[in-house]
Amino acid sequence: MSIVINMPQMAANGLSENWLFKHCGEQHWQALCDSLEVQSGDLCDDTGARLYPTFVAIFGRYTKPLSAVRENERFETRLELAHFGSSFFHSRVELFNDNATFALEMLTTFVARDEEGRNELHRSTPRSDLRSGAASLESPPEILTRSQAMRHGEIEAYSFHGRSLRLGGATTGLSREYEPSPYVDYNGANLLYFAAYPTICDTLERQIVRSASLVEPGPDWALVTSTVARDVYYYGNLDLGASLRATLNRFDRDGESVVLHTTLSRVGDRHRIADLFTERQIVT
Amino acid sequence: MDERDFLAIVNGVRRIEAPSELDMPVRDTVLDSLDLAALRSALEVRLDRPIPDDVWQGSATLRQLLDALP
Repeated sequence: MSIVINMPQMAANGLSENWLFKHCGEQHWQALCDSLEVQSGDLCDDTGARLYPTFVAIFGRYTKPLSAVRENERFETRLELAHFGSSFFHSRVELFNDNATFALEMLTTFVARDEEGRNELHRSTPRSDLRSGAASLESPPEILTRSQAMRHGEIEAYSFHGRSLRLGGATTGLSREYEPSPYVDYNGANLLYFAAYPTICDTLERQIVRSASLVEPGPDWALVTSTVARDVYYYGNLDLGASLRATLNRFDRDGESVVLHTTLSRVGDRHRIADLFTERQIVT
Repeated sequence: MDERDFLAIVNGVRRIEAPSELDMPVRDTVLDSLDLAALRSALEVRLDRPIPDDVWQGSATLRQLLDALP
C-alpha cells in the first residue's frame, strides 16, 4: 500500500504519531480479520458477544524523528502478522521509504463488554470454529512477557531503546488531569482509542514541561523535540466523561535526547490504565 | 495432559506458589486477566486446538480446567 503524506497525516511538527498509530492499527486489524476470514463487525465469541480488539502493548521505533517527514513524501506499508493461540495477534507494521522507517510492533487480544453502555470489559476469544491463517507462534512473544511483567510491577530496570531505566524510584511529582474528548479521543465503540493514549500523554507532558520549566525558555516543546521511540503498555480504559491523570515519573535529558516515562491513571478510582516510555530527540 | 505437564505450563506463564493453588478460585490466584489469556494460548499451542469458551468459562479453578481439557 502506497501513501502520500498530506495534511491529514501530519501534526504540528512532521508526521502525526496519532495518525501513524491509527494507520498501523487498522492494517493490523484488517489483516487479523482477513486471516480469520470474517468481517470486523461480525467477529464474535462462542456466546455471540461482539468482540473488539484491545491493544496490550505497542513498541514504536523510528529511524528518523517524526519531524523529518515532509508534506508530499510517499511511503509504503508492509505488515507481518502471527497469532499465539486464539487470544493474541502480534504484528510488525512498517511505514517506510528510502529516507526513513517507522515501525510499530503491536500485540492485541480481544474483549467483549460486560454490560452495554459501560466500558467494563472482559477478555474473550473468537468463535472456536474460526482458524487464523496467520503464522502460529509456538511461544509467547517478548512483548507479551514484558507486558505481564509491567502489569505485575516486576521490572526494576526497564530496557528502552538502548537504555536501562530504573523503575519504582522517586518520581518528578508532576502531574496533570485531563478529560479526553468524545470527538477525537474515543472510537466508534465509545472506548478510549488506543491511538489517543500517546497523544494525550504528549499533550499533558508538554503542559508539565512548560509549567514546571523543565527546559529552558524558547520555542515550543512540540517543535524543538520529536519522538524517535515509544513503548505503550495498555492496562485499562476510561468511561466517556471521566478524567485521567498523567503522572510524569521520569524526565531524563541526555545530550540531544530526552526520555520520559509517564503513567496514565483514572482520576475516579486511581486505577492505572497505561504506562508510556518516550524518547524525544532535540531537533532544532 | 497430566497435572505435572499442566503445572509446567502454568508456571511458564506465572509461577504459582504450590499445587494447592490449582484448587483455589481462579480469581484468587496470582494470575490476572492477561496471564489467563496467556495461559489459554499456551495450552492451546500445546493441545494444537482452541479451548472452547464453555470449557474456559466453565472452569472455576485451574484443576477444573485441567480436568475439562481434551
